[in-house]
Amino acid sequence: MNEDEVFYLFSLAVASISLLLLALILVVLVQYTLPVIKEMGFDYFITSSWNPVFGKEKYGILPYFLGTVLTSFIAVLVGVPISFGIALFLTEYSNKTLKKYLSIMIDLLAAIPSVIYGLWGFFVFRNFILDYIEKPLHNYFGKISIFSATPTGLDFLSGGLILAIMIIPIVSSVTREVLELVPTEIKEGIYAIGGNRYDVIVYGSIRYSKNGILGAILLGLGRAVGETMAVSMVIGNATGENALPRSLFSAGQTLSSLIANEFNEANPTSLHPNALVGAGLVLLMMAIVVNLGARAIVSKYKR
Amino acid sequence: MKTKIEIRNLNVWFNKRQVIYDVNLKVPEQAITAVIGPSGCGKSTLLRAINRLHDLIPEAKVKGEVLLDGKDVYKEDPLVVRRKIGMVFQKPVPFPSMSIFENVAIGVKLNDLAKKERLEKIVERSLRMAALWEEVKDILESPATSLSVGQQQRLTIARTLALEPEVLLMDEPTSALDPVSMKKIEELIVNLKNDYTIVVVTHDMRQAARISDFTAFMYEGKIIEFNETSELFRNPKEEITEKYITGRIS
Amino acid sequence: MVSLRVKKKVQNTFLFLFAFLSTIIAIIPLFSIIFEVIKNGIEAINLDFFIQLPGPLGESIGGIANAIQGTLILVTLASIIGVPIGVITGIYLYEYGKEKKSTLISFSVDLLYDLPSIVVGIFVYITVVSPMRSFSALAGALALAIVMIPIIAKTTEESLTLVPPTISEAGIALGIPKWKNIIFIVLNSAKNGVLNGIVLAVARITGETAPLIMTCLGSNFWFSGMDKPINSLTLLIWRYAMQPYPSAVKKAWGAAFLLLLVALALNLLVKSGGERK
Repeated sequence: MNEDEVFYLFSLAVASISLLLLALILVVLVQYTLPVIKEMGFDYFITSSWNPVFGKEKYGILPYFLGTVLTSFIAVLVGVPISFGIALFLTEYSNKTLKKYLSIMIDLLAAIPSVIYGLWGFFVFRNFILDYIEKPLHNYFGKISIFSATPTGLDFLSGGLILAIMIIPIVSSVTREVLELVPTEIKEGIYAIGGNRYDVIVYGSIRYSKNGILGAILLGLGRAVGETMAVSMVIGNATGENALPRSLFSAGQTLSSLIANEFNEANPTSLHPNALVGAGLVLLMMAIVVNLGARAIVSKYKR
Repeated sequence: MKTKIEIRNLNVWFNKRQVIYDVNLKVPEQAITAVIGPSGCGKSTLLRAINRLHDLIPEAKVKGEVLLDGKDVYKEDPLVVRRKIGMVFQKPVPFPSMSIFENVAIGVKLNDLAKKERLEKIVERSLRMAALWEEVKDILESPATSLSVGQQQRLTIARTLALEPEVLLMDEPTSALDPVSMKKIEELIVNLKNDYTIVVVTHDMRQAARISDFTAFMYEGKIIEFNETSELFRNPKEEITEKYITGRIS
Repeated sequence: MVSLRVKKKVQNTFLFLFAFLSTIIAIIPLFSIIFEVIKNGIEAINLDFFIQLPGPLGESIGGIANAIQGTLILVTLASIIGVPIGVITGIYLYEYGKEKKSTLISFSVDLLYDLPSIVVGIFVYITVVSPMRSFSALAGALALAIVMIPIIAKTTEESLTLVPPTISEAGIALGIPKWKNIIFIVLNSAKNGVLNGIVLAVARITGETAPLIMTCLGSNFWFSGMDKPINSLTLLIWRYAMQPYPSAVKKAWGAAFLLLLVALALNLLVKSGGERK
C-alpha cells in the first residue's frame, strides 16, 4: 500500500497546482486592481471617463462592461437560434453520412483561431455586414436610435455577429446532445395523438429539454463574454465616453478588447495598468458566474 | 481431502446492507468446487472476498477470515494474495491496447517476476496450459481484440496462469460464450484441476454437475449446503437445495 | 379558415426550412474563411516567407520566419510544462475525484478551464513579466501552459472514465499495485483518447493570441533567449492585420494561411484517428 500512498500524494500535489493557480490569479488580480479603486472609488465601475494622461487620470469601465454585455447579447440573440436550427437539422433531418460530415464542419468552426476570425472579420465579414445589413438599415431606419450612427462596419453589430458565429459550435453540440436524450416515448406519444413533426419538436423535445437548452445558451454566453481577439479587430476600438453603446453602428469596446488594445501601451508608473487589470477582474467575474450557472444547469439536467 | 482454502465466519456488507451471512466453507485442494445459487444470492460477492477485491470498494465491509493454507489472506499483503489466487471473469477482458503476447505477459511484467528472456517461455507455457497456443503461436503480435470471444476467454485464463497461482477463482467463466467455446473451456478447467484448486461460480447447474467435484449451494447470502457434487444433486439434504435443483426456485 | 392539414404542412415546412437555412448560414463562414485565407495567403507564400525576418514594418520584402520559430518554441515549451501536469491532474480526478476532499480541486480545474485567456496573460504579466522587468518567451510559454492544463486534465479524465471498469478490475486481480493498474492498464487502454486530447490542446494554444500580448510582446528578430521577447504567428497576424501597409497585411494573410492549415490539420487528424478506437 505504501507505493499507492506515494502515488496518491504525488498526484494530489500535481493536481493542487490548479487550485493554487486559481487562488493566485484571484488574489493577484484583486491586489493589482486595488490602487485604482482607491483612487476612483466606486466610480470606477459606473462612470465612463477614460483618461490615462498623467495628472488628469480618470478611469471608468462602464462603457466596456456595457460593450461586453451588448456584444454577448447580440451573439446569443443571433447565434442561439442558428445553433438550435443546426441541432434540429442534425437530429431530425440528417442521415448518418450527413451527420458525420456536418458535425466535422461545425467542429472545424471551433478549431479556427480567434485571430483568424478577426482577420477575416476585418477584411471580409465587415464589408458584407456593412453593405448588406448596416447601410440598408441605416438608410431606412436611421431615425431609430439603434440604427442611427453612420455605419463603418467596425462596431458593436459586427462584434456581436462575429461572436455569434464563434459560439455556434458549443451551443449547437450541447443542444444536440440534449435533444438526443429525449426519450422516444415522448415523441411517439405526440405522433400518436396526431401531431406532426413540428408538434413533436415544440411540445415534446423542447419542453422536455428546456433546462438543457438553457444550459447550452449559458455556455455560449460564457464563451462570448471571454472572447477577445476577433472582437477586438472589428469592434472599432473606441474609448471613454465614445465607447458607450449608443447605436448598433457606433464604434465600441469590450472589457477584453480594451485590455488587448491598451495593455502594452499603458504607462507602468500610472494607474492605467491597474485600471486595465480591473477590467480583467470584472471580466473574470462575469465569465465565472455565467459558466458556473451553465455548469450547474447542465449537470442537474444530466442528472 | 486436504483443505486449500478455509472460509470462517465470513460476513460482507455493501453500504450497511448485509449480503453475506456467516459463511463457513472448506475448499478442497486440487479439486473443482462449484458455487451455485439463484442470481443475487451472493456467489460473486463470496468469490471476490477470497482474493480481496472488495478492498477497492469503499462501500464494502468484510468481516471474518479466509485462510489460504492456514494463513488469513486478510492479514497478508493483498498483492501477494492476488498473485496466488487468480481470477477469471465472466466477460472476457483482454487488455485492448495490447497484443496477445503482451496480454499474457503483462501480469508477470508488472509484478517484476521475470526477466525479459524468460517471458517468451512463460507466455508459451501459459498459452499451452490454456489450450490456446496452437491457435495463436504465429500471431502473437496481433491485437488481443482480434481473437474470437472464446479465444479471448482462454487468453485471460493464460494471463492468470502466467503468474503461477495456486488457486483459480472463476466467476461464471462461460456464460458469455457460445456452446462450442463453453465446452472447450469446461475441458480446460477439468484439465487444470490437477495443478490448481479451482472455485467456479455458475448459474448453470448442469455445468456444475458436469465439471465439479464438490458443490456449495448458496441462497440469500448463506451457504445452505456443501457436499460432493454427485451427492448434492442426488440427495440434497435441505429443502431449499432441492427446490433450486428441481427448478422450483431460481 | 385555413384547414388543419394545410396548417400542419406549413408548420413542418417552416421547421425544415428553419433547420436547413440555419445550417447553411453556419457553414458559409467556414468556407468563406478558408477560401479567403487561401486566396489572400497563397500570394505571400514563397521561400523568403519562410526563412526571412519581417524587417521594419512596411518593408515589402521579408518573411515571417521568426514568427514560425517563435510559435514552435512557445508551443513546445508550454507543452513540456502543461502536458505532464494536465495528464497527472486528469489521472487524479479520475481516481480520486469523487471523494469529498477533491471537490475543491475539481472545482478549480473547471474554473481554470472557463478563464478568459487574456486574464491568464494579465496574471503572468503581473507575476513574471513585471518582476523580471522584461517581456519574455518564458512568460509566454507559462501563460500558454496555464491555458493548456485544464483542457488536458478534462480530456484525460474523460478518456480514463470511458475505460470499462472490468478492465481495471482484471488488472487488480493480477496482483499489481493500484498505481501500476492505473498507469499501465487503464491509462494504457485509454491511450488514444488521451493523446487526442493532447493534440487538440496543442492545436488550441497554437492559435492563442491574447495571453501572448502582454507576456512575450512579439518581436522582429529571431529568438534570442528565454528571457527576451519573442514573436508568434498569432501575434504577427494581430499586429499586421490592421496596418496601413499592404506588405504587412500580406504577411498577415500568409501567416494566417499557415496557422489555419496547422489548426485544421491537427483537428482533422484527431477526428479521423479517434474513430479507430
